[in-house]
Amino acid sequence: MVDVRITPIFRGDVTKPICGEVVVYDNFVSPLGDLDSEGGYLRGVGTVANKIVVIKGFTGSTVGPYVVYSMAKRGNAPKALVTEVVDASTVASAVLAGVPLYKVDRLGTVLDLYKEGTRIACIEGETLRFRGALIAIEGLDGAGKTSLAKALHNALLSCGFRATYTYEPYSNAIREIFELGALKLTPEVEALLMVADRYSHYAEVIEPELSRGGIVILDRYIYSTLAYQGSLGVDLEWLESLHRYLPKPDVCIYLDVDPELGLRRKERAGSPRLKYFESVERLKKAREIYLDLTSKGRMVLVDASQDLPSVVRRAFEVVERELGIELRKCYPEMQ
Amino acid sequence: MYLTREEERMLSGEYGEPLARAMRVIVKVGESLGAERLIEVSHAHVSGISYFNIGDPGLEFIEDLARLGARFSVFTTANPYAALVDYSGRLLAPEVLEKQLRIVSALRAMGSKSFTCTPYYVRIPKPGEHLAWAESSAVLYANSVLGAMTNREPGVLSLLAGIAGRTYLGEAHKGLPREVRYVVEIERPDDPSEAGVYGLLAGRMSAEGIALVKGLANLPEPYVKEFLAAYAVPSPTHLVVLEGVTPGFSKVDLAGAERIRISRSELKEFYRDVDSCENPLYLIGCPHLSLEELKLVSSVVGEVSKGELWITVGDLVPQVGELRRGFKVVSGACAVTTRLDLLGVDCVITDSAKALTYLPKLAKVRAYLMRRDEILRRVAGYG
Repeated sequence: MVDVRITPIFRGDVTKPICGEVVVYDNFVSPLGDLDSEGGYLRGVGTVANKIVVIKGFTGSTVGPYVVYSMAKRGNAPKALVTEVVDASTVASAVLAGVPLYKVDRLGTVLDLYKEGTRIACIEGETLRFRGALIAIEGLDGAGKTSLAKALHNALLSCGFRATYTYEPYSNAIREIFELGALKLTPEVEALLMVADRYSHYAEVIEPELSRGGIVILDRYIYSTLAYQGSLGVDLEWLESLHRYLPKPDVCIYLDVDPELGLRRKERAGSPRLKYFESVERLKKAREIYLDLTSKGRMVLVDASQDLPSVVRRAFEVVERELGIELRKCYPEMQ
Repeated sequence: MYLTREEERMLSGEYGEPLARAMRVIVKVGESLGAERLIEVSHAHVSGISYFNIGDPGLEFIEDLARLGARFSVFTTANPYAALVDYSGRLLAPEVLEKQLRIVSALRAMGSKSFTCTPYYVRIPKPGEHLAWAESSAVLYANSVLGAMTNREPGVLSLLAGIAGRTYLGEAHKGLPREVRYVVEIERPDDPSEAGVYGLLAGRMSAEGIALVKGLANLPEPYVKEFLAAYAVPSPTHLVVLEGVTPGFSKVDLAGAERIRISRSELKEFYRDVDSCENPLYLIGCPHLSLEELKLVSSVVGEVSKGELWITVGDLVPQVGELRRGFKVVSGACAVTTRLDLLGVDCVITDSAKALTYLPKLAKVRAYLMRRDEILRRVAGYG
């Protein structure tokens, strides 16, 4: 997490933290020429609608308030404005449009973060807090997790975000233990091995990326252990307690698929990875646990029996909504 | 910020949405600039009404206000609009004309009394009177010549101040400063255009604070007007203390001020290359001429054989003299905030240093400076 101090000038009606994607433009904006109120974009930069927009200020005191007002009327105003230069006209713009306005002393820090792809932040009190985000993708094998994760990764990168794709099980040592049968694998041992792998994964990959403000896309995370080891009868509360020191994902998408369809997809792709787990009865049980977690609001269900483009589209919508970012424009297949 | 009970009621919406909206913005702007309270004003002057400057968003905002029933609660004037006259038989696109006229009629519906950048010819504020004026040239004129008091308001704020009858209590409303940061001495200008160039240079060199200017006492009014209009282009100030002109100028302390001298030799470079403008639009009237100036100019101009001559004045200034070919008295409009390129104008020769600066940016045409008497000699065919 990186904090930048900002001074509230106008808070509007907002009482909760303002979270979402940050857009930084290291220059003055000339409202009439640079801002498009119909499309909600800043020329040469991209969409600013519903984003936290950081600019030096507005040039030309005359028209700024009118343009920002017009954007607000069309639902295209920024979520918040952060400017280096605050003058009467900028304040008038913010108040007329009902857009919270903050002053930042030096835009440089924010610009550096933005250039590195750190683009998710919350405004809390007098702080613009940049943070990373954890997106977990869960589901049975053959649900399309890897395809979705890679599509998401590509879209985030081409939008300019700092993003990392990674999957579990993470370490080869753990895989070998499973495949070679070096340990007596009771369901509890299995669970502990998986959880050990996850803590190691967190320490080596996930935490460092998050602390730099990156977005981490996880192909399987906590709920895989709950579903799979839970399906073998391991106590779910105990399993959850093992994860006490790991962060919950910011977004968790559950790709729901009938186990037999999943298996057929896997066979067609010719990849018999981790066969050990895959008996249909057990998968059905795992699906029940997943569905139960979904009903408790821990994950968002996406129907994965549809074709991949539909699944990706739906999942992108979820990520956009939950993180307050915009993705589809950066993913040609979506347009 | 301290508000009176009446102001609280206005803010809370008791007197309707337009007034509440106006108060919200004024109070917030005042708070963010550290004003302790509001101040009632007797005259608001609105800037930012050319369709070319404010576009569809501005039209929409002003029409929204008018439709909500907003009315000016104090005497209110507005800046000139885009020129609707033809040039060499060409007019702006009908859509642009229509939208410009919609802006004007919405402002009229709210109660705007006049369209000019020289509202002090429509109603002369008394010394010490509180105003809410936008239009930088008029702001400096009010504070520096008339001894009235106005913030240099952004366009939208002056519009809302006209509705609320108030603005925030900025420094401008507390009278002349006790001391100035600069003392600028200029040589005596010989013509309004020269005064304008001195204004540009002085504004540029003293942009970081308030200046006292020596050298403008006992000059005809147009000289002072051109000086101030140009001074406000590079400088964000609301006031220049003019020795021998500004009421109370002698009480200002000059002891610690930085001294700046501008000599006549620095003016020359502004009058270059006029001959590269072959088929010019001659422009006199930035800021708008007074009726006296118009009479004077009109009396010496005959038919204009090459190009056209536009004299811009406020909408309430009566037409004087007879019609002459190529000579247009354009009232209520501003050539500088009109896309003259769309009318087929290639270049403009003007006596205004302010117009010289803004014409290329706003009107999208080349611009050259010439003394007023020389322009008149040329178009009268004497030159």
